[in-house]
Amino acid sequence: MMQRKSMLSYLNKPSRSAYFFVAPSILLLLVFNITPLLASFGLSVSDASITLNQISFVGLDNFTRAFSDARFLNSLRVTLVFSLLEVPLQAFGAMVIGALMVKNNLWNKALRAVFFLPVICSATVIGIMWRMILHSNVGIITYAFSLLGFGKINFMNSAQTTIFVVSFLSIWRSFGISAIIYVTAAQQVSPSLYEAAELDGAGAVRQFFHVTVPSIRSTFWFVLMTRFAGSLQIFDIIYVTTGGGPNFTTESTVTYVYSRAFSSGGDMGYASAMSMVLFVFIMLVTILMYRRMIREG
Amino acid sequence: MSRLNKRSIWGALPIQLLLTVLALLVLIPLVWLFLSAFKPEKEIISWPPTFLNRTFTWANFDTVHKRIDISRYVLNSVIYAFGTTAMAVVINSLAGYAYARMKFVGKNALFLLTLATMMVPFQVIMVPSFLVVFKLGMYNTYWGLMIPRVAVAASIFMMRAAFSVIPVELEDAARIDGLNELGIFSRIMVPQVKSTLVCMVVLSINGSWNDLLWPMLVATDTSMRTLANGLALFVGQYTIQYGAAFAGALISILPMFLLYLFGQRYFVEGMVGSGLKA
Amino acid sequence: MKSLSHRTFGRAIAFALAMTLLLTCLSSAYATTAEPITIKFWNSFTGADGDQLVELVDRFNQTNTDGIKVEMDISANFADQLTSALAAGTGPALVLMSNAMRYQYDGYLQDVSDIFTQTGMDKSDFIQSYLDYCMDGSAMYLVPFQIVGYYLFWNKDLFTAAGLDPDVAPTTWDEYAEFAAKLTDATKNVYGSGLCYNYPYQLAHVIQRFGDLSVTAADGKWQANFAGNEGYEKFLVTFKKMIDDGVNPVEADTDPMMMAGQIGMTVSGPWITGGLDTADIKYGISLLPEGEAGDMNSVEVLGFGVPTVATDAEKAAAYRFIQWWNSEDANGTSPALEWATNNGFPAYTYSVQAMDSYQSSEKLRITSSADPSAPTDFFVDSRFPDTGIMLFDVLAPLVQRIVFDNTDVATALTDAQTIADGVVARYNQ
Repeated sequence: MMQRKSMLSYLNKPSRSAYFFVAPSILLLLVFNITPLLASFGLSVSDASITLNQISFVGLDNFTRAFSDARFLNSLRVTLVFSLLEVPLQAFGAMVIGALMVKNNLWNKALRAVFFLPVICSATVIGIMWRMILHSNVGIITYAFSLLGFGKINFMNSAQTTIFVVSFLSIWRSFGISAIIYVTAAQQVSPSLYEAAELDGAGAVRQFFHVTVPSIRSTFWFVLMTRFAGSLQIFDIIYVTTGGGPNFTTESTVTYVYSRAFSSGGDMGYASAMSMVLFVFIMLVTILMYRRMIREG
Repeated sequence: MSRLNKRSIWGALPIQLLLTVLALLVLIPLVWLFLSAFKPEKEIISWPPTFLNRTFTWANFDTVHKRIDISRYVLNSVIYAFGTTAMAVVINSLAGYAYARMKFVGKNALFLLTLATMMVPFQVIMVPSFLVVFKLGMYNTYWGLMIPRVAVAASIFMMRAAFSVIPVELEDAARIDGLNELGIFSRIMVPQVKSTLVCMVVLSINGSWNDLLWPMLVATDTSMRTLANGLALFVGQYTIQYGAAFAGALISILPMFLLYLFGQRYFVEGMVGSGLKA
Repeated sequence: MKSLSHRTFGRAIAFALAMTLLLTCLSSAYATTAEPITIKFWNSFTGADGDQLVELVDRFNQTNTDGIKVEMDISANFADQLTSALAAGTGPALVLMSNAMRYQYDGYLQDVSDIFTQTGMDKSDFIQSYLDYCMDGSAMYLVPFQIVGYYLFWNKDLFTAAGLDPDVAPTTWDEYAEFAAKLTDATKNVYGSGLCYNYPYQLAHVIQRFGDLSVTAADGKWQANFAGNEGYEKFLVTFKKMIDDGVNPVEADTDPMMMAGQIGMTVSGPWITGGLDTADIKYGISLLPEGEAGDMNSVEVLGFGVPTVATDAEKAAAYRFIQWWNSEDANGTSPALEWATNNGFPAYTYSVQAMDSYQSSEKLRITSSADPSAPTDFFVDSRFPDTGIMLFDVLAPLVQRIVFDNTDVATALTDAQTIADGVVARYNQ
C-alpha cells in the first residue's frame, strides 16, 4: 500500500511522469525512424549501391555533385513552387472552409464526407483516374472543355501549366484532411467563448477572427508545419500522374531522388545526399516555425 | 437561440454556393470513377468519352473477384490498419499530451527529434528501415508490419495541438480531486479531445489501409497481402485494366467511407464547455 | 519425340538431385524420394498477363511429382521489394527480370549456365542471340522467358478512311511520316502517329533505326554516339515536325488513344494487342520499318534468374520449374508456347517457333519474322551495363528539350553527348 502510494506520488510529479508519457513513442521512433535516418546520413557521404553491398566513404563528393546537378537544382525549384501553391491553401484556405462546416447539421456532414472522399482513395487509383479524365485527347474533362468552346487543353503535357494541374490534384487529394482537422479543432472550442463574443455584439466574421482563429492556433501550426514538410516531400501524386514530366517541369526533389536510387543508376549514396539537403532545409524552416509557435504559447 | 440565428449567417447563400462548387469539384471525378467501374473496358476508353453509362456491367467486379482473394486481403488489411491504429492511439496521444501540457527537461529537444522523423522521404530510409525490421526478426510477421508504423510524428503533433487548448482550470480541479497524471490524462483530458482522437483514428486506419510500399517490403509472404497491394495488380507495367482497377477502388473505398461516417457521429461540438459544467 | 526424351532425362536428373538432397539433408527424417520444397518466385507481371502466369504456376504446383511448390508473388513494387530483401540477405529463389535490370543486381544472381546439363534442356534449341543477352563470358545469369520487341501497329479502319491500303504498312520511315500526315484528321480528332515524348523505350526502338546504337565499343572503350549523329538528327527533326504539324500529339500516353481509335499508327509491344482486341479495333502488325542503320531485331530479354540467397535445393527446384516451363506435355503444348500464343511475344526457342499453333498465329508469325541473326542490341551495345541511364537520363531529356524548349536539334545532341560521355566514362575506368 505504502509502496503503491509513493509510486503514485512519484508519478504524480508532472515532470517525471512526462518521461513515461513520451518514452514509448521516443523508443519506437529511435529504433524505426532515427536509426534509418542516421543510416541515410551515413550513406550520403558514401558511394553506395541500392542493395548497400558496396559502400565506400567519399566525403562531401555527393553534396558538391548535387549542387552542380542542374536536374537537382531544378527539382528544388519545382518543389518550392509546389509548396508555395499548396501550403497557403491547406493552412489558410482549409481553415476557412473548415470553419464554415463546423456545425453538425446534415448538410455540413454531407459536405465533410464529400471532402473526405479523395483522402480515402489510393494514390494509384487517383493517378489513373485523373490521367484518364484529363487526357489530352480522350479525356472527358478535356472533351467537356472543348465542347464549352475552350479548345483542346493539354492539361498533362504542357511545360507551362502541368505543374499547376498537378498542384491542383495534390490539393484536391488532401484538402479534405486539413479541412476536417480544422473542423475537429473548432468543435473543441468552448461554446462559452462564442456566447461571450455574441454578448459583445460580434458578428460571424468577427467571431471567426476573434474566437475561432485564436482558439485553434495550435492546430494551425500543426497543419502549417506538417503540410510544409509534406509538400516539400511531394512524391506520390507526381509519381502516379506525370512521373515528373513534361520535360522535368513537375519533377520534385523526392521524385528525382527516387529515380536516381531505383529507376536508373542505383545510386543510393547520391540519393541520400540529396535527401539530406532537403532534410536540412525542411528542418531549418521547421525550427524557425517551432520557435515562433512556442513564443506564441 | 440567438446564437443559432447569428451563426446562421454562416449559412448565407454565397458561402453555401462556394462550398457546393468545391464539393462538386471533388465529387464529379469520383462519380465518373464510380460509373466507369460499371462500364465495359471498351466504353471507358472511347471517343467521344461518355460520362453516363451506355452499358451497365458487373464484369469488372467479376474480374476483381476472380483475380484476387478479396476476403483474405481484406482480413490482412483490417489486421494491419486496426492493429497499428490501436497501438498508435495510445502511444501518440500520451506523447502529444506530455508535449502539450507537461514541463520537463529536454521537452523541446525531444519534440524536435520527433518532428525530424517526418522530414526524410520514406523512399530514402526505405532500405535501412527494412534492414532494422529484418534484424529484429520481424520480417514477414504482422508485428513487423505494424510496430514500426505505430509512433507517428504527425499524430503526436496533432494530439499536442488538441491538448494544448484545454483550459488549465480543468486540470487544476482534477488535481485537487486527487487524480494522478495518468488519471488526469485518461479521465479528464482525453474526453475533451474526442473529436481529434476520432479524426486521428480515422486518418490512421485510412493511412494503413492505403499503404502500398511498406506492406510490400515487410510482408512478402503472399498470405499476408493487403487489399491495396492486391488492387495494384490491375495496373500492369505495360497495360492498365481500367475497369477492374476502378471496381477494385470502389471495393476498397467502401469500408473506409463507412468508417468515416461512423466516426463522424463522434465529432462533437463544444466538449470543453459541457466538461466544465459537469 | 525429341523433347519427350528430354523430359525423361530431366526426370532422371531431378530424381538424382532429389536423392542427393536426401543424403545432404540429414535433419529431415521424413524425407521421401521427392523432398517437398517450397520456393518463392517474385516478378512484376501485374496486369492481364499476370492472370495467365498465375494459372500456369498453379498448374505446375498441381502436376509436378517432385513435391515442389512454387509460391508466386506478383508485385507492383517488385524492384523495391527485391532490393530491400537482397540488402538484408534474404529473398526469393526465382525471379523474372530484364537483361538491363540484371546489372543493378550484379553479384546477387547465381550463374545458371549449368541448367542445361542439370535438366537436360537443349541449349542449341535456344536462339543464340537471345541467350547472348543473358551471358557474361561463360557465366549465364538469366534463362530467357520472354523476348520484348517493339512493332508497328496500325488502325486498319483509319487507313481505309485515309485512302490507304489497310493491309500495307509503311516500309520506310519516310513513308511512315507520309502515311501519318495522310491519316491525320483534326476534325475527327485523329492523329496519324502516336509516338510519346516521354516513353524512352518506344523512342529508342525508333531512333536506333535511324542512327544505330547510342553506346558502342571502340578499342576496348565505351563510346557514346550522339553529337553529329545524322540519323538521330533526322529522327528528331521528323518527330518535331510531326508534332508541330499536329500529326503526332504532345502526349505521354498514347495507348488510350490507340484503343479509342484515334491514332493511325503507333510503335508498341505485343501487350497492346489485348487492349486493341477488347476495344474491337481492327489493327495490323508489322516489324518496324528498317532505317538507314540497317536490319535490326532490337529486343530486351526477360529471363528467369536465381538469386544467390537460394540454397542448392531451391535452385534445383527452380531449375525444375524452368524446365517444366519449356517442356512439351502429352497434348503437344508447353507453358512457353501457351505464353507466347496468348501474349504475342516471340518465342526464344526454335522448337516452340516451329509448333503448329505458333505458326498459325498471325501475330506470332509477324513478331518472330525478324531475322534472328540480325543484331538484337537495344539502344546500347548489349554488353553495356546501364541501358536505363541512357534511356532516362540521356534520350528522354534530349527529346523533351526539342519538343518543349524548341532547342535546336544539333545543340541538343551535343549536350546529350556531354551527359552520355559522363555516363560512359564511369564504365571506362
